[in-house]
Amino acid sequence: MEGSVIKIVGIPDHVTMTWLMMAVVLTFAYILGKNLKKFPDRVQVIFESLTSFIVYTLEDAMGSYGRKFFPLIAGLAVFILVGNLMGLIPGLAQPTANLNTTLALAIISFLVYNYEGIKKHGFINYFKHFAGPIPWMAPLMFPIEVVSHLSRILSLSFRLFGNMFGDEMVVMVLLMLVPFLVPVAGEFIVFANSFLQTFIFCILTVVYIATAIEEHEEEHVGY
Amino acid sequence: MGKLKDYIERTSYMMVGVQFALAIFIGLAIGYWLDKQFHTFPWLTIFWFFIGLAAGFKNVYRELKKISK
Repeated sequence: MEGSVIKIVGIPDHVTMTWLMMAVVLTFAYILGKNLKKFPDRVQVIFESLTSFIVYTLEDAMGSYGRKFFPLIAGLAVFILVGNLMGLIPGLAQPTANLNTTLALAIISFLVYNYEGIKKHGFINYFKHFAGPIPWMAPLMFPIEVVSHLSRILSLSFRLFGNMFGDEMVVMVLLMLVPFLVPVAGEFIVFANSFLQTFIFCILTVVYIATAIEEHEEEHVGY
Repeated sequence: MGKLKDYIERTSYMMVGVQFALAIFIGLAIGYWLDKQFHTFPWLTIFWFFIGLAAGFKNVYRELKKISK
């Protein structure tokens, strides 16, 4: 976080870190994809279990329709997880400890779930749901609903950014105070929190997509 | 895999607290911006503050309904 080793003049740190991460992950994925075995070795088992976990989660939330979102969710998961874990390597910075990166991720998830909702229910019906059940209250309910949807973007991006930035901060402060052995505890928090935040971000994206798709039926039951 | 589905649903309840605060701030931001456009300082800010508050409550209500179902 203190600044990465690799610096390109005029381009902020988190962007160069994202590029580095993309290069590493894409190369790794290419090599792994070329050498798939019928009886998987250790590396392949890890990635196969990750893949099947995401598929099971999606199918649990949305049925067989959920399989369509596998590339999106897996992409988010790998991006966030590798981005978070990069902070553990000395000399590298976390791209996710910058609000711009996390905001971009949250906007992707926001656009996807709205697009899916509109595609499923039709443009008019989806926004009719925003207006609520009572016609004369619609002008009041519409802004309320819009604000509550906008708050989803912010809470997604701020949670990831705040957690990663704060964790790195803790490590930095510990390094300043006691530069021997104690920062390991801080690094462990970074390590554990990386997985947790990745999980939360992906699960919430799944939940949002699922509710955007179902929302209509739920309304008929509710009122 | 039924357990996992419960878990997924419960995860979304973690959002409620943060969203409640953020909804108010978003409402305030929209109101403040509109006030700057129309030069009517306190009124739209106050109005959108209450819209944000209502949005926060609506989030809580929606989650509560999901729990009690």
